[in-house]
Amino acid sequence: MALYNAAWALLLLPLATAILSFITETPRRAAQLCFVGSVLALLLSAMVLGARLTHPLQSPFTSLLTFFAMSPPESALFASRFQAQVGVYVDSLSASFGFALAFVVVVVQGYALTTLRAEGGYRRFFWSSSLLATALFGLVFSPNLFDTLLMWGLGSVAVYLVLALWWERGDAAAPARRAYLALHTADIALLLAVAFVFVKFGVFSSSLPAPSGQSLVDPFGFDQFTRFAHGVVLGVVPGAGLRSLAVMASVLIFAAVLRAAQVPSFGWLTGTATSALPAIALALSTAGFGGAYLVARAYPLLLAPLHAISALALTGALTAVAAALMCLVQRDVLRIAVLSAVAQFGLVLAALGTGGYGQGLFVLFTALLFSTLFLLAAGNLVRVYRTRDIHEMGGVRGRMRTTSAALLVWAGGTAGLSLATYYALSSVFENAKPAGPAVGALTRVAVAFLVVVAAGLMAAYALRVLWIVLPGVPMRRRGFQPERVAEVEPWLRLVTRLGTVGAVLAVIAGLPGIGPVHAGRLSIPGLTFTRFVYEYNRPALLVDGWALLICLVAGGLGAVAATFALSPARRAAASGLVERGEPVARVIMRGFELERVGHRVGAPFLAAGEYVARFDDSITETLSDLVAQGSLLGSDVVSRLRSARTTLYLAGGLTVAGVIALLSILAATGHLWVHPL
Amino acid sequence: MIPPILLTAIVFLSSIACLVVMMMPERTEDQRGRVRIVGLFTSGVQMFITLAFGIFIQVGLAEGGGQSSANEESHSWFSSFAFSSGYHLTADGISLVLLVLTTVFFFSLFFHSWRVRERVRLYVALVLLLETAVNGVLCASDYVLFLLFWGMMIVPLYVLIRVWGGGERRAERARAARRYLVLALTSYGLLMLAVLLVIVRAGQHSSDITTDFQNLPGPVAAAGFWLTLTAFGIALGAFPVHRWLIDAQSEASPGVAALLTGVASKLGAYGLIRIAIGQFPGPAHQYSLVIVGLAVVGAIWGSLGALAQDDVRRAIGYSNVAQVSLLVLAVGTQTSIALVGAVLFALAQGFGIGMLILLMGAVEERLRTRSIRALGGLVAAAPRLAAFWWVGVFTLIGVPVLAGFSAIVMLFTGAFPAHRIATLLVLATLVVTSAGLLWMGHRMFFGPLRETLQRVRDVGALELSYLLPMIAAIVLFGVRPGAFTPIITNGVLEITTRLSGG
Repeated sequence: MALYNAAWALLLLPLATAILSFITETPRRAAQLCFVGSVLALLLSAMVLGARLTHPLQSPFTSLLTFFAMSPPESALFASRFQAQVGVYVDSLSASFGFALAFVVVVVQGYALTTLRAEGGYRRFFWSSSLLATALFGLVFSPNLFDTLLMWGLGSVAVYLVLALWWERGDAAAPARRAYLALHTADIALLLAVAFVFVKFGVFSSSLPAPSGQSLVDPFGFDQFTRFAHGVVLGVVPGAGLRSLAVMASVLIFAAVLRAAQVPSFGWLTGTATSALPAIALALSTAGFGGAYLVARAYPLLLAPLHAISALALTGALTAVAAALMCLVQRDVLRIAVLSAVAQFGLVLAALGTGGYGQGLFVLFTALLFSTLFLLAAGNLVRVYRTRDIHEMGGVRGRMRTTSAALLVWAGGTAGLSLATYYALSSVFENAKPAGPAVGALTRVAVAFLVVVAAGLMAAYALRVLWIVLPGVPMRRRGFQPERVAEVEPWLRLVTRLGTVGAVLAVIAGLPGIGPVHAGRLSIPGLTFTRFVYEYNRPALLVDGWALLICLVAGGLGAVAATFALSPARRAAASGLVERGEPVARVIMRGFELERVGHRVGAPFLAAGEYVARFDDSITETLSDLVAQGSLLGSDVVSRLRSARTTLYLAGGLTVAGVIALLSILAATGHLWVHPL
Repeated sequence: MIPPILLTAIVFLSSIACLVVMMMPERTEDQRGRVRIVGLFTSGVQMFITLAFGIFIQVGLAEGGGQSSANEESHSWFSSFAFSSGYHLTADGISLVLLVLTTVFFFSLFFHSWRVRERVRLYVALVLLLETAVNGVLCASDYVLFLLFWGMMIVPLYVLIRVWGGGERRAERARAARRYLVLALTSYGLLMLAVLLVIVRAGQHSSDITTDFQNLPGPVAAAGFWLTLTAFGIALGAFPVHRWLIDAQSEASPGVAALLTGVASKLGAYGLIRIAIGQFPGPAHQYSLVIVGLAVVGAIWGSLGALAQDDVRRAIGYSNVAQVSLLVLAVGTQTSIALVGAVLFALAQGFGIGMLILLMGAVEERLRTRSIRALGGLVAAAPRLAAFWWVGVFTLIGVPVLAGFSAIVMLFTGAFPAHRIATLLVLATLVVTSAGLLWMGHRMFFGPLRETLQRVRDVGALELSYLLPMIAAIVLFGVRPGAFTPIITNGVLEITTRLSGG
């Protein structure tokens, strides 16, 4: 168990390197220091994961520190103790995601070491990304809702700092601001949830027996949520019924959906596509991951109120379809990367919303690695072709082998081989997770339909990218020499390969039915991801034949559609089709106008602000002046104070008066004179 | 061992220094430097006493498992009138935390006084006098003393607003100073009326604040409550009596504006907690909906008003209106958790807003403009200045690891069960306030650097000297709020016990 204390080091190491990076001599040293810190964090996370893998049945490790505490006397309103704790909570879930995130941070920082070297803000990117890593690890190993709020808040600021790397460009700085406001709104929603949880469960939690090693039950503790939810269902929690639970679930889901950039709030994340590539990669992993992870941790509270969890499933599925559709008509490769990740996060929430806890988390696990992989590949393309328009690329296959392989793996995974769509759909079909009531039939049908459509669309856009980018020759344009197109620098190649291997291994970890491994003294029991994080004591998931078949058919149809539309023979016909449907495509490309609405959400506030200022300038100021005019006599007297001499005299007089008062006080209290003993 | 005259030293050292300063010459730059050094040294000693003997001993006591207790000095003063009055100074958790705010702030401000070029001696003397008044208000445990110190603030602040601030906008400054004077005197008058009413009608024959005036007749208690609520509301600059503060802080010189908004106005919050609800718990409870309503409207008003401003100082002023509404919300909800949060928030907000005003002063000094439209891309020319600005903004927004975070969490967790809808509305305005501050920061610092701003100097050693103590306090209270909550709770419990009729 002592090994799990490494989770503390995991949290503090990136923070330490972020702080130390300020005192390094050069930005390059700072970058290297932060990168080394991240690599060490990866090793530590591997140790934690290894310990967990070899002892999967061990109960979770908890280590807590009190952040603040007080004992409110209002027993009718609050529990007898209000204690906010921070700490680490190591279970299979946190160990797995700790490793995955450490891997993502290493890969992204490794990529940035080369690509951002010539950019301004090199040092800033690295310390802020290390700060973000701290927030991410803190979130993953968070033992309770309060700690999650703290880490969300820290993560929001870190994402803002990372995204605002190119502050001198308005088109990059404004999305950073929008992103921060969206994340901050989610933080505030979570704050509301924290208050709600304390008010509703505080008193109940103090009546429960405290876990061993702790003086009281933490009302914010994730490990207590199942007890709370059961208590509410049984009607033994004073002042909390199913309605309270529904409100709580709605607030939590609102926060998660906003943070995971789901419909209708995806605009803040898609807008970040104008930022530096490593910044986008980190923003994606934080944002989408943070939202979905909250859902996973607060799952017991979300399951009881049926409508809330159904809404989550529908929102996720709808987002997957919308984002996939948008990907289909985009030309900007970075925007495709961001939207693709949004679609994957949609699938995560769809699976979680239909009761597929393990499945949803597996989709999240692969989504993290696949979105990072595609961003690396897209970054290579942008670096070499000096454009973000995929139609200006081409001929990658023969010229950039590592990038081609990365693109192939990403496209294969997105088209269905990563099992994301399969798992999402199987959770709809299975729909019989413990502790949760079955989602309604209508919702199931709707979610299943949307997931199948999303599966087809995802396969189509993934193959579209491949079809456009891999074959052919690069487009000739001014200032660009196609013949000089070659693979990126060796270091970037290495990082891209690492990303590719990571994505492939993630899928392998999720393959259903992998049995235990025995090699000499080493014994690793059944390794499937879903079993490891959730269902260890249950039989491994069997392959759901229907789900697999439907996903394969949908993916195949998407692939066929993409091939059909983009094959040289059909390209002319397809372009005619596109021209005819151009207005529709444009609307889809712009995010169904939701992005524009999101960007203009501040306009009514600005208009209202104008009215407020005008009212203050006219009415309030006039009233103040009226009051002030009433004291003309006084103002006349004080106007004489303009001369410095008078002011001096006045201040001197006041001081003397003060001193006299002081002396009189001292005399009266016996402090002025020295009394004989 | 706590020195027996700890609080007297915290309050009166600066007035002794004021006397010394008034006798010092200021003809040459060296002499003016010496005047500043006397001010700096005195406030440094006061800060040291507050931190070392005031708060850290209490923190140590609380962490050692002991009960932290209030520092107290009490001697009878006079009893010649219908009531007796004492030289009674007390500093419980609420006062001590706010004393950290005031003493650190004044210490920083004396570094900033090197920016003041005219009438240095008078400036330093008035600030020292003001420090006595401010610390006195926080420590006074007798109504007569309280009124003495409260009144002692008015003239120095008026003169500080009126006299300093350069030749530009002289007329506007005069008008703002006049408004301040009128409203400060009104506030003082209302307070005096309330005190007289209470002392005379309570029949306790004592003006001690710690006296429980439980036998006040209902109408008298209600009148006392409304009088003190109005008086402290004016001092706080809360809606609807916010305009004077916006005007005064936007017209005064940066140091004075920071002092006014960061420290002096927080005494209004202190008065609301200590006197308005602490002394009149019945009416405070009865009219809590009105207070909460004012908080909601104020939060909306301030957050929206800030969006429409082009003058940076006025935008900060409106944000301040929105943020003090959180303090008003805590006062309206009257739960112990919310009140502890409010005390922490007063500290965080005081430092945060003070930093922004001082930094804007630095920008103003370099560029001679306060218009947001005239700025842009400053981060390229002055990256450290931008970094400090963002620290201030993040403190106000309530980012973790900075002092505002725990304060906001406690404030809203405490307020939520008492007035849910109001808490939700105020919580929602936090987003608008944050958006306003962020947008302002972006327009000032981000985007392409304007040609006219290319030779702007970055923050220098002098600016660092007055910003770093504030940042240290912000981080200390952000990282270890748990060290201070037990001692604040001790102070708050006395008030909430009265509120619950105990």
